[in-house]
Amino acid sequence: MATSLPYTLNLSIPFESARQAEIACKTLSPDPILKVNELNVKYSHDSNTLTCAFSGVSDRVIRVAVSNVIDNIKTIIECMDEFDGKEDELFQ
Amino acid sequence: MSSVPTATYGAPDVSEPIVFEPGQQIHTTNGRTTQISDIVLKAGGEDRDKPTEAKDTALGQLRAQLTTVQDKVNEFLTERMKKEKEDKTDVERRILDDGVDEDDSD
Repeated sequence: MATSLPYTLNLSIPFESARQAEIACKTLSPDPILKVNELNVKYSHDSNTLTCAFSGVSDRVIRVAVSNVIDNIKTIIECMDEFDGKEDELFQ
Repeated sequence: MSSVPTATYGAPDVSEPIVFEPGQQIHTTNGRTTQISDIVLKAGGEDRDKPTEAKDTALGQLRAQLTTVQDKVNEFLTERMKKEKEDKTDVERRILDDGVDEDDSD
């Protein structure tokens, strides 16, 4: 039976390129949603923009999920900033 | 298409979607709502997971702007959760008070 998830939040993150948005989308997607009757998250990318669509049963559920995903996105951005385009560099 | 990160919130009791944008202020990666608690800091604790500062790059700026949006969303939702709790407590108190009044009228 479908559960009502009336609280929604859509995140829109503009990356520098479509490739970066796709990498971020693929990095986030494997994380399973533990309580699917309480929360749903859909990741997609269009051109250089990553979109994360959250829907949940309450503000509390949305707050925890959104803040956690933003933390993950910030880590992805930092990794890109540090390493993207530096495949030939040797890090010591 | 927007060139800054945005968050758009909707709920049954909200008629128009609420949009959160970074705004014009200075953005940092040191978020207000993502630090360790003040209690731990005052007790001499150290935030070992403190984020690195944003680089002077487009991605560095994006990370700092996203931290500002995260703070705004967290503070907004925390306030709504607090209000919902207060409203619930208020209803419970009214029901209980009404019960006392009924007893007193006997």
